[in-house]
Amino acid sequence: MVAPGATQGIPLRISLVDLLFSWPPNGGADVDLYNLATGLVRAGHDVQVVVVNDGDSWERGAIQSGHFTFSLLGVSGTGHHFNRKRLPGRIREAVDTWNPEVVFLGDGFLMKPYVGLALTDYPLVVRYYAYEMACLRDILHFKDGAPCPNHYLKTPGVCRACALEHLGPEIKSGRPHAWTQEYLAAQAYGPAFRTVAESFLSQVTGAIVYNETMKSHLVHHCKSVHVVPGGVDSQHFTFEPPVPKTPKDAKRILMTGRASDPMKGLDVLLEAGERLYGQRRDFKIHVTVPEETALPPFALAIGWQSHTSLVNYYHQSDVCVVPSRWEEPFGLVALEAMATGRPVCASRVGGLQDIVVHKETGFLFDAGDAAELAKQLELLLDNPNLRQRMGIAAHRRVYGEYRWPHIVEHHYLPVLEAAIAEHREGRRP
Amino acid sequence: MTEQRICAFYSTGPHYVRMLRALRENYPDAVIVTAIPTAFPFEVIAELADETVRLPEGAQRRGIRTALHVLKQLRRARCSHVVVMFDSPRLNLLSSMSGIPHRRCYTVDGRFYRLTRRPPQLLWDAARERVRGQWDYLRAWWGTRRL
Repeated sequence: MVAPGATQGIPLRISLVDLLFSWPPNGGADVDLYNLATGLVRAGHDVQVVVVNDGDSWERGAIQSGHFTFSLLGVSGTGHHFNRKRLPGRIREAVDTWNPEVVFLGDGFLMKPYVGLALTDYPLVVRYYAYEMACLRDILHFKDGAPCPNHYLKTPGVCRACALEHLGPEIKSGRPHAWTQEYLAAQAYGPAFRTVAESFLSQVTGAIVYNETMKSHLVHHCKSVHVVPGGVDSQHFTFEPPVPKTPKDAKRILMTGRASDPMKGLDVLLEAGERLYGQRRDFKIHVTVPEETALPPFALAIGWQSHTSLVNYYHQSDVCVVPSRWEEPFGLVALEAMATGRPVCASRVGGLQDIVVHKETGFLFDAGDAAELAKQLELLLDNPNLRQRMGIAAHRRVYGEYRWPHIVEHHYLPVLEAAIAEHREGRRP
Repeated sequence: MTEQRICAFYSTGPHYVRMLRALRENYPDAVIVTAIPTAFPFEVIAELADETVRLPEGAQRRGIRTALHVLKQLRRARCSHVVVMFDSPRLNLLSSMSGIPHRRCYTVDGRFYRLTRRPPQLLWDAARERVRGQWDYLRAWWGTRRL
């Protein structure tokens, strides 16, 4: 934890820059930035969010709702504007109009170093939501069913070849996704990108990550790296007691998030379901995968759910499962489920093991261990009292440690204030 | 949109249910015909759909046979409007060849707009896109070989 700086108690002017923000959200990082901005405003600070608009893409800057409590400014990132020379300058201009005391650089991929270097006149805090700087291919740092042993900053040649091999077909199609657009725009395939990335990391005032593994990736490159958990909007994800069920009613097991991604471990949950289905038929697994996905009879594809409709799904569920196979940086869905008072069975990886307290707020199992998950689900399905007890404990844990006002006050503000103080210190002759 | 039989064409993406809700809200008197794959669980959209066209297995894949099959199904539905989820060349082409007079796109950020591109322009755009993709790939390939 960083000691509070000299600006504590005085409203700050803060710019949050995000290269991928969309609303309604496309993922956890969008939710995180929205809640951070809202939390900072509620804490009395002036907040401007600068986002990149790309009219052609649903993955970048697609913003539907205008009901934001913070000031939102869009910078054009369509076509020829989206490159390493133009975009950073346009973002810098947008930030300059606000004249902030500190800049927070949120989600983005390989354009982040270029954008960050254009903003280093300001105290700059960068948030890493996944393993962006460890992997050029994607943010996951996950290969052939296991965490990748390579690291871009250490083995750039291997990673450059791997990235092109993986992204090649998508690039050739002429319709690259938002992340691949950043790979091309940043020219991350070339040898010069590593120097840019290292220069950027050495110049940021502070970096924020979700867990200790992520910290270890950056600690040799950045001046200061802080582990800050994500939060949950407790006014949105409200506690609701489970719907009373008779022994004949089907209990609902819920898996949310980007479940169609193989590293999220849906196969593990389905294997556990298969084991249970051999013995009992009193459950149904609901999964947020595209509706056309073929699933076994005990599972139902409920499609992509909005931030609003998701709450109802949590309320109607009995148990939530997060069976990730990769080193999940944080695991926001576990937190959301816990906030609504549902016990969570999660794999023992990354940030999930910090969130779920084994045998207290749910259960942890080794990643990929379907047999263990089946046992845990069986125990929970058989014991409504256990589900209730764990659900209440889960809600209490979230309410005590992961509410956004708490996260903003105890984690983000000290880091932002320290960045301002350090920047001032560095400028003193 | 004034009438009345609206085909809501499914593609893999985050906003199909949102699109159906928007159609129901904006055009309460219209008949909403959902065009969904065979494996799509109807119960998820039951309250939003009036009729359903089941698209063949693998309708999301490319290929002339699949496209012809999908077109046949769409023509049979006799809709006055078709709404797709993305303004891609493929969906543009499919919708314009469906014979459905009014074509719209519903975007992730909740906007309806008219699709205006015709097949020759679509083919030109697709070819241009592919050439740009090959060029980008060549540059990246060359870049990875530099030390």
